[in-house]
Amino acid sequence: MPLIHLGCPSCGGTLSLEEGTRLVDCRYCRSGGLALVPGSVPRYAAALAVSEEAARDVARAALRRPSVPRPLRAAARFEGVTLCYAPFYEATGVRLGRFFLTDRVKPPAPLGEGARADAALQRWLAQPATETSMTRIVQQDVSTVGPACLLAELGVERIDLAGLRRGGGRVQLAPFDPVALRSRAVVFTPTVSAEQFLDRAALRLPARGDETRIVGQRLKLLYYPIWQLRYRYLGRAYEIAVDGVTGAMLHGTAPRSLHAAAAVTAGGVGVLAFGLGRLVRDLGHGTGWLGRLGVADLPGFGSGLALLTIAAGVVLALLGWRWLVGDPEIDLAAGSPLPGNGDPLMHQSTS
Amino acid sequence: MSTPTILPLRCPGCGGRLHGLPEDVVFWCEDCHGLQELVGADFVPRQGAVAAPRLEAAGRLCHLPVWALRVAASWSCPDPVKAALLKGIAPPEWVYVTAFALHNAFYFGDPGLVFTQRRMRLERADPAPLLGCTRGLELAREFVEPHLLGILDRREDVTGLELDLSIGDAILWGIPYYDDGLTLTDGIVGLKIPAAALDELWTLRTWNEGRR
Repeated sequence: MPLIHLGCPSCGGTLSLEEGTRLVDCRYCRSGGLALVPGSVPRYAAALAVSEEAARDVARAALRRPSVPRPLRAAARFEGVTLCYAPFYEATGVRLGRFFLTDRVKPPAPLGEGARADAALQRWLAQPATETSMTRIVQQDVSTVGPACLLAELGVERIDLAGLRRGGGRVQLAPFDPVALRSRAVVFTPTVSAEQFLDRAALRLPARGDETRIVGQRLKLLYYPIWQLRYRYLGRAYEIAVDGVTGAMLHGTAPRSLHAAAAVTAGGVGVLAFGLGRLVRDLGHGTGWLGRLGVADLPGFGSGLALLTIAAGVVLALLGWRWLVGDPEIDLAAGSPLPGNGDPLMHQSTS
Repeated sequence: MSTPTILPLRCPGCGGRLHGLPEDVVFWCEDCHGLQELVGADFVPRQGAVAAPRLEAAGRLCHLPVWALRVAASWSCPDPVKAALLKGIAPPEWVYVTAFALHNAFYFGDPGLVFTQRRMRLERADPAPLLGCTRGLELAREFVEPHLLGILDRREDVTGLELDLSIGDAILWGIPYYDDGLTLTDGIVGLKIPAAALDELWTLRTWNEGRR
């Protein structure tokens, strides 16, 4: 991010500020200053709660599934583990005001059967509803969170930061120290501008009776930690992304083991061949091992069993073949529920 | 203001150094213990005080800002039934508005609203640093009417109610909070808030550690 250069009001020395920095100490005269930069967005970093070793354990556990090749299952070795910080915008405010509600109400409909009940129901239907008005005083926190850049390989769309922040328990914010963070992590730069985010986040459906407004609007950039682990198998590189706060699997791929698929296909072909051979033999000679069992005399029995075997062989072979030619990679994060709700790229919350 | 600028953090009153957290709009002077609010590109003095704790809890003591605005309020309603019900509710003398950045305040229990509902009367204690004020006086005033109406709304529907309100003095109180690492407990009513809900808590802790 570009630096902002301003002059110290006390001594005139040049102060170089990272974007979002507001409090500065002049390195020349040691006096404190308050930087007022229009459009500046304050930045925070979510505190890292998952260690590198814990992230490795999550990745290893994800690779321990039967469809992953045995060498990987037994001992996956990660040749690179990188801590990344992905930026998210968070827009917050408080909705204040009144909401007028108008409703038409009637007492509950009379229940029962018979002529008297019918008459009561007719009277109830003819009775006009009473219009009632009610006012609700609204004091409500509103927030919208969304990624400031799309990083599919890190699985940022699976991070429900709004949900994590809502409960106030999972995400501790720390000051954004760009020098310290960049010395130990890859910090991604926002590719979505603040204006673009606010345009997308400005969801306010007009409602009759709504006399509320949003006050105290604030926008901040939150840098979220994600562990990225890389490994190789048969010369091909794969990646796994682990949430640095919750430890959840965000994104990951693994090679699919083909041994089982090949075995099923071969087995299916074998069964198919066996059935075909027996069919030809029984139809041609009318005897064979079915005759020795004494069931060959049953009309159509030998041919029926062979046909069944053929069918089973076809099914197995087809299943195995589909497995073989299917996606060579497994999505390790598939099937994991997306925490929270709504659009994974734009989470809104109110309380 | 359209061009970037730097304001010196010097108290206009005594020349002492002003302290605050990165997103603060009110700054505390270490020499005269006065408070200065940034309004536009100028510092405007604000009245401040530190509240004495009424209860103790585990953890390190710190202070978080809450505005207290003296109000003169009266209400009337054309509906005689409602008017009779509302007549029994005396308007509070002070409306409190939370001044620090608390994420999802109304989810946990907004401290300012709670103090207003309980009609707190705070007592002064010795001066102490007061940092973390991200909500200025003008913004705090916006909360007065909703806080008052919210109190009435809990008792009776306020449709048709006419509220006559004037706001007088404003004091920025430093409310004592006990920080045990995971939870902050206020020393007035014992309201608990999770530490992770305070956006600036990390910086506040670091600042307090530096002073110790």
